[in-house]
Amino acid sequence: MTQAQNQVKVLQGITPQCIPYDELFSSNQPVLLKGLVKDWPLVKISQNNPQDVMSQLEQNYSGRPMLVYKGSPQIKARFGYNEACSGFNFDSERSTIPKVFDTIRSQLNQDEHDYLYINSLKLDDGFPALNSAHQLTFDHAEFENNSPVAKIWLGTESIAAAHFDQPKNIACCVLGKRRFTLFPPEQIHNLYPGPMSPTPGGQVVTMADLNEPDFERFPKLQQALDSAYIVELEPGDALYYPNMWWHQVQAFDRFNVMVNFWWMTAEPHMGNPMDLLMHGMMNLRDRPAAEKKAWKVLFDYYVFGDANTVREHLPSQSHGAFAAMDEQLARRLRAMLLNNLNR
Amino acid sequence: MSKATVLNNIDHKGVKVDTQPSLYKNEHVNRSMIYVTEIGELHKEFPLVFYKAPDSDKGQLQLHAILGLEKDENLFLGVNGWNSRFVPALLARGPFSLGYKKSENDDSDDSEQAAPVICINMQDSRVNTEQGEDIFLQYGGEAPYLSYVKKALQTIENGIKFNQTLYALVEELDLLEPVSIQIKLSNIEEVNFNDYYTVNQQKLAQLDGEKLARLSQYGVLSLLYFVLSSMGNFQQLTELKNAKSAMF
Repeated sequence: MTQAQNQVKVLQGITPQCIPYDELFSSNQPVLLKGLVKDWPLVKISQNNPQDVMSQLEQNYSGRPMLVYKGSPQIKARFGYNEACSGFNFDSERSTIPKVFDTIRSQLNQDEHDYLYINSLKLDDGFPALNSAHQLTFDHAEFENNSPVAKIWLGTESIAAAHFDQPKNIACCVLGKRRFTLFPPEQIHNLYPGPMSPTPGGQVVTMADLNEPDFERFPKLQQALDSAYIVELEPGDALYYPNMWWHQVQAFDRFNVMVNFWWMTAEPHMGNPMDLLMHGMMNLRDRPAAEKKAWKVLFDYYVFGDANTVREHLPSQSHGAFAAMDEQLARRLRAMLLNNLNR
Repeated sequence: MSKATVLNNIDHKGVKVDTQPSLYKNEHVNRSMIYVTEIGELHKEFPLVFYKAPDSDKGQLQLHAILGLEKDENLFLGVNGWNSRFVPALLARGPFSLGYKKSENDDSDDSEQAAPVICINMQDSRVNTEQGEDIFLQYGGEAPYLSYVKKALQTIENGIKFNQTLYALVEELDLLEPVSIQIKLSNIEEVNFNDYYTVNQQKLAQLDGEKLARLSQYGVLSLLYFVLSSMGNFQQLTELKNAKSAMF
């Protein structure tokens, strides 16, 4: 991979109790929090004896089955699509921690081995006794109605193709080396996004292999790589990155553990903007260019522009949908939209 | 043999359901199994009774709405359809049923529950593309008939769970007694209500506070009174029957 020019901001000496959220949020960039969770019990164990992390997890396992992605040696850690993009190059199956760990252990000394990946398992569901000792303090106004939940990611080497998420994220590396390759949202133009459905993990992913770029097929990928932020996490390190940023996540060791925290900042009455995109494709995209241009202006005025501009010249009782969106107004608009959509 | 396929607005675009009663003999029944979730509506029109199959000692209880007094006689079915305000969900659902689809692994919260999907039996005699109720609107939206069917399917889906609660409680508290109604249709014909049970009003009234509280807590107490009062609908049934006989 070509080396990116961008330097990721690094904060040293931060503890889970004193995360400078205002500083994190103000940069609107990824920030490496070096050694943030170095005192988490699992991290301490991982630095003394990595094998013990597995047994710690096994001992604290709730017994609840979970979904596991399982890929053959041929996928080379890359969990992605099959040739036709109609499905995936891995199977997902219900399994348990002992079964998954036994498979990983039995193949530890093999060069060719299966790739197993448990992703985004609620820590409290999988390992309830570990939940309280592996937390961060969320004491910013942003968390008042959006309390983040710890999720754990376990498995062999893995590469999750670059995608964006709607929640903000703090990812904490517990065991194994993990590399995040991040792109600002506008890099979508150079990232060759795949289908909206199906997707390997719920989000649209890039079709390009960032590690072995095929510039003939994906010529603009070079521009994306030039603007990438690359961060390597050692156990104990954490990474904050803004929502909507594209990121590929690669785990390098034979067994890797990460715990992350996601939180949405939108009010719960707000729907999923992906629905808005889909609606746009259905109703706007295939209209004549001049018409689309006019709609773009309207969207800029009504949606992307300053909300006040739209309403300040009007008496407040006539604001309707222009008013600040609250639960009641959203209910009214939802009823209207449901009615309009059903045709 | 009914074969159900998952309903969708592409494969089943333009499909209609003809709800004319003449097309579907299964609506010509003198009783229908019903669900706890519809007692609140159905007790206003139909006699509701418990039924226990005679052939086994530990036969599973069922709840039935009585629709007619003779074999295959549905007194609430007119030439153009149902004359009643409410229709038992099992019959209202038409050629539709609920199936369960394993949820696709989405991004995070693995919901272990399979998502219910609506299925349609395309071999059903009411299903056609010529006449009847549209399932979908012109551009694939949900037509009113589909909303109606969905409601019936939900009634069944939710009722399956709550029926067991009702049955368990009435058996535990020994609240049932055989239906003692005798309906004489003519000099030779008499309707037989063997194997049917209703709530013993006296036993219900004599339950102690704790038991009553339990029935109420499970939402069953009012249902038992509904079932009890629905016995009065036998009167309406005989009137419908007499009116029908008088026409011939």
